[in-house]
Amino acid sequence: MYALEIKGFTKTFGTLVANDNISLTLDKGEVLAILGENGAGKTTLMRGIYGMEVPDSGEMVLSGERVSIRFPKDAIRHGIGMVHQHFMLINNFTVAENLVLGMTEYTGQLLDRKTINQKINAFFEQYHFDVPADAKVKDLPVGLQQRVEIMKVLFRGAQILVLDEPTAVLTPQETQELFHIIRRLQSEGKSIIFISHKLDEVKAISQRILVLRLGRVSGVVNTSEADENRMARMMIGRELHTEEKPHQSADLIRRRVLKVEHLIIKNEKTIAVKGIDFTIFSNEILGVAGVDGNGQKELAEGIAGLCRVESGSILLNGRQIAGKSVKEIRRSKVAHIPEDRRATGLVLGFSISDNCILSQHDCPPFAKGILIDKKTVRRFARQCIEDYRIMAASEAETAACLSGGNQQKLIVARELAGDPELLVAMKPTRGLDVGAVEYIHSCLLEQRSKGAAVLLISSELEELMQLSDRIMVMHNGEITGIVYPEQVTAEEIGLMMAGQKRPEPVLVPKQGVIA
Amino acid sequence: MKDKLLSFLKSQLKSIILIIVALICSFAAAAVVLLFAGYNPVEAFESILAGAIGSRTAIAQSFGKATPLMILGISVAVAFKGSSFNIGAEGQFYAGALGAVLCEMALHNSGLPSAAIITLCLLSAFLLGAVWGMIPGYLKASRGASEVVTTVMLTSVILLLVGFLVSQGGPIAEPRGIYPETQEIVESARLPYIWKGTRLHLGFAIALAVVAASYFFLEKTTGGYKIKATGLNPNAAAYGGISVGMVTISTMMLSGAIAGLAGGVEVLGTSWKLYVNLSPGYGYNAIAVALLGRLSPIGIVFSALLFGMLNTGCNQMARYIGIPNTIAAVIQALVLLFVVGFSILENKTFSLKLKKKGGTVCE
Repeated sequence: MYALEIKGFTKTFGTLVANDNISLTLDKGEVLAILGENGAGKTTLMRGIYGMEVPDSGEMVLSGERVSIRFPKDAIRHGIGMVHQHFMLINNFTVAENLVLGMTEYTGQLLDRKTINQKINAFFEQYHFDVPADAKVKDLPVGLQQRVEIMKVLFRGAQILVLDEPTAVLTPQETQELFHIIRRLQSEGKSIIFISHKLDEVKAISQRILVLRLGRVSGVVNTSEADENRMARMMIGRELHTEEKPHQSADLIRRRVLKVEHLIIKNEKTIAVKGIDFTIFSNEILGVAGVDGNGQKELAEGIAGLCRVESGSILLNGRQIAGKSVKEIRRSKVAHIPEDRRATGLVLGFSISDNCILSQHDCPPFAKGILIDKKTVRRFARQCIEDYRIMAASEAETAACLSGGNQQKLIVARELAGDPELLVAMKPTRGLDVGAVEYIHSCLLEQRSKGAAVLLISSELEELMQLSDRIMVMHNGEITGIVYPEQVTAEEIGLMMAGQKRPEPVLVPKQGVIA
Repeated sequence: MKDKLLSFLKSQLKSIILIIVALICSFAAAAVVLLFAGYNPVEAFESILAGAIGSRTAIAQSFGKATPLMILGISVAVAFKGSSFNIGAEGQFYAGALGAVLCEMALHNSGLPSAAIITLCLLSAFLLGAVWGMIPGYLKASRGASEVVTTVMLTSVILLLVGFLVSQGGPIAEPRGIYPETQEIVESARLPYIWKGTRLHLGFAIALAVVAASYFFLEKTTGGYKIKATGLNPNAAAYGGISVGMVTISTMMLSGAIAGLAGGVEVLGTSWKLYVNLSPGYGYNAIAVALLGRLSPIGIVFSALLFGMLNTGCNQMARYIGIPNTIAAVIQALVLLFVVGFSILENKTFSLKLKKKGGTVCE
């Protein structure tokens, strides 16, 4: 008898079939991973299990008993708990208050904080979770907030836990701690559905893997027998090939595209960039590694003109751009992929067409005098959709309708359209699935081949090692080293990220002649 | 394309049905009020209908009432699109009215042709309104002062200023010094009537032109693009190279200018003079007009007409069957309450319908 069995689950949104006849089984005490690209239907399936969507057809069997779950409260009653990607906690409430929220049968109509805190603390002890019940949620780091969510679900008596992309918001250390918790829950006989699009995590934690693609189950495998290539194939429908940066010849002539000198940038709190110097050459990707919040963001925004430069110079092809407006900087062929595509990169309420011209709306050919040439804009947008394989019904669709990967492709399409000389890319693959990541990587490498200088800021070391000609490490607003990726290990970069300075930064790319 | 058109029509049909249902409900509620007050509701409603659209004069009067609301509704909507909440359209309306009157006084004896005087007066109204809108825009962009507060405060300033200027014997009050109002404007400065036998003046055509121009501006020009981008996501706008501060200032300027134009049109077309109670709260009703019209220029035409008809109809009813003005006002308010309430409902059922029947659902 399975803890949970789903038969023939189908859910459509208009013409879009989000889930097409999906069946799955979950044993007691098992971790089942659900793997799939963005838009493969993982979240819809989970929302269906949790009663947030009512499927068009399909049935659910819980421990041998057919159940109908139409609302989350039904799911909770049947012992299904869900930890959402975006936490459902009230930040100004204490941990205990969040746990008992809505459970009047437990607390009674009057809230006796002292007793409840005691009870909650006792409950936490069972799980070796040591956060005081009277701590405010907003004061907790993200990793702990997530655990509060898990505790909340357990407190409501969940036997089956659904974790929707739980690692997306966690640091590697926090991920490891989460895995500990999952294993402990498993040893207590709880069943867990773990949703992810990261192959390595899924391999580390699950017993079986169910792969979704385009709303269908494309395969179920035992984790012990799964190899990454095969899973990637099931997930994206083709072989995954890691982009290798093409070899560059020794007589390639390089120009200094970006030269940064003694750059100082302040943010609201502190001096974020403390007088740094570096140069990026044509046909080069300079990777920037560092723990978040060590000045990378301010550096990118300073170059793009979004952040005021306190002092120092930023020379683009020898011309000063520090202190210029965003418009002027963009006119001099600087493209910028921002960190947050939804908050900064796109106007979500705008159509794809309108988003395509965000930075070019008053330049020809899109603007004729004060008029916007809608026809040209639409043609350009259709070209972007086609060239970058953006999955969209039409160019009139709003950007909010696109999946994360397609939103990012739209930004990349727009930013690369003008053949930039300098591309500032801040975490361009954040939160994307493997297929999209691969595609964005190939776009970056194409820019490199075309002669652009690329400043690639990323928190994924692997990505930096794979793409960069040189890696610059930042710590606390300073450069702690510039190295060739071939000549260092991840550990050495980790040390630099922690603040250990490495002498003799490499100032030029390996191949090529400096003009 | 065909599908799109069909679904668009369907959605419109739905709003029309909803408005009708809302009207029925509001009249039912109004009937209760009327019964309690001791009036015959059927008779009352008949006179509302007759007063609003029963005759040429009635229709002309309704359109005339709708004129300032339409222009002001556009003013509020433009600011809204740029995410500025201009609650001071009332004040900018008075600034515009003052601008028109001052210009007319300067040209009173000039003997210029009518078209020239009217154009100059409206231009003056436009400019003074722009100044009155620009101040809160500037304060918002440079100091972060909320325009909600500053526009309201500036409305008080202009109202008191106008009050002083037109007070008995005041600087621009009529020369006899009897009434607290300006001298009547010359005939050549008055907006001509455009419908024979009625008092519907050119202002109504100007209002429609403002609607068309604002639609064109918002949809087809780079300026409109900048305002919408800034309104929807200022971060993205700044990232794309749009100067958000400048856009905020110019949006408020434009909004103020349009409101000022409404003031000018009111003076030149309807009142022929300036006094303190020139507007019965047009600038505030315009917020409701703009919201009910979903901030779309076409929607604003219809919502302004609805407001205009309702207002004329209720006034007529009060006059004909001797219902107190306050009860007429209650009925007006009930209709608005129901129409606005139902329009919110429309959004909800609409998205539910989408989920069932077709189309993609977005967050």
